[in-house]
Amino acid sequence: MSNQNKILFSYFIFPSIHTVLKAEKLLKSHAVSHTIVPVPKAISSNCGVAVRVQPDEAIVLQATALLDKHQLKYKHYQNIKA
Amino acid sequence: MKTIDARGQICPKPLIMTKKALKNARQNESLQIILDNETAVQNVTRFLQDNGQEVSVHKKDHLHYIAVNAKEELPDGIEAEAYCDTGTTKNESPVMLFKQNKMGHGPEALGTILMTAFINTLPEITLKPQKLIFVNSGIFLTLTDSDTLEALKTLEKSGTDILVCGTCLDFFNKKNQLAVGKVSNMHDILEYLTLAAKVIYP
Repeated sequence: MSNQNKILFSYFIFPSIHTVLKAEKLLKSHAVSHTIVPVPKAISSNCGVAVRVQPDEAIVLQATALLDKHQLKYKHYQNIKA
Repeated sequence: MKTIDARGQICPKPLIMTKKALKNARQNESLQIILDNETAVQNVTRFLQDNGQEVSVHKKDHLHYIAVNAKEELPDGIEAEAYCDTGTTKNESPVMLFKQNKMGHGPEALGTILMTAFINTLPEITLKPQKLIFVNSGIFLTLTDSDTLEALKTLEKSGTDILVCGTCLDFFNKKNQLAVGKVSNMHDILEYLTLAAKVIYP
């Protein structure tokens, strides 16, 4: 297993894939570093796509501010294993 | 020289017999294992080589003879039985052929995000692919502005070969934007695909 498995990340989960696509576009256009990944099993066993960011406060704040500003619904999970 | 006659035995018996003989052998004592089927030869050879033994194999009259000098001491807790399963060796690990930069047929945005999530998860799976091959629009996944670049670089560092179709880079005029892997050609790509035990088309 790679070391990456032991790193804790911050995840944003959205109500639909359409919101994920909007969020991704938004984060990308504002150069907020993020990764598109499947929703971790620890959060939900449903098939879904999530936005993963480094557990860095500045990045998380930047992301939440941007999503809030554009009124995208999301749930934020901290310290989840990849 | 001690002889282990494992003719007619099916896996994991030849492995267990070999392990036992090796455990009881003196340093540099030579052992000979007699087997009558190819699979057993491969399993036993792999078991011995993985555990630091020098092995030579020869075949005579439908029988296979494996010669080994008891060189290294076997570490405790070696599961010889596990060598019956060939599913975890490097050669058995899958080759993946990316024929486009999206996953499946359908709306582009959906296909793109699925492919991104797929590749970003690859570094975390247990059995890493041995090779990733990118052709046609699949090459876009390997370029400087790709969302999957970091994951591909991580895979490359951990030993996965990344091969990118040169003709395709040329067609899209993207040769100078290749950011991971090496440029390959149809000869190599075809060779790897035909040698692979399993090919996955994401």
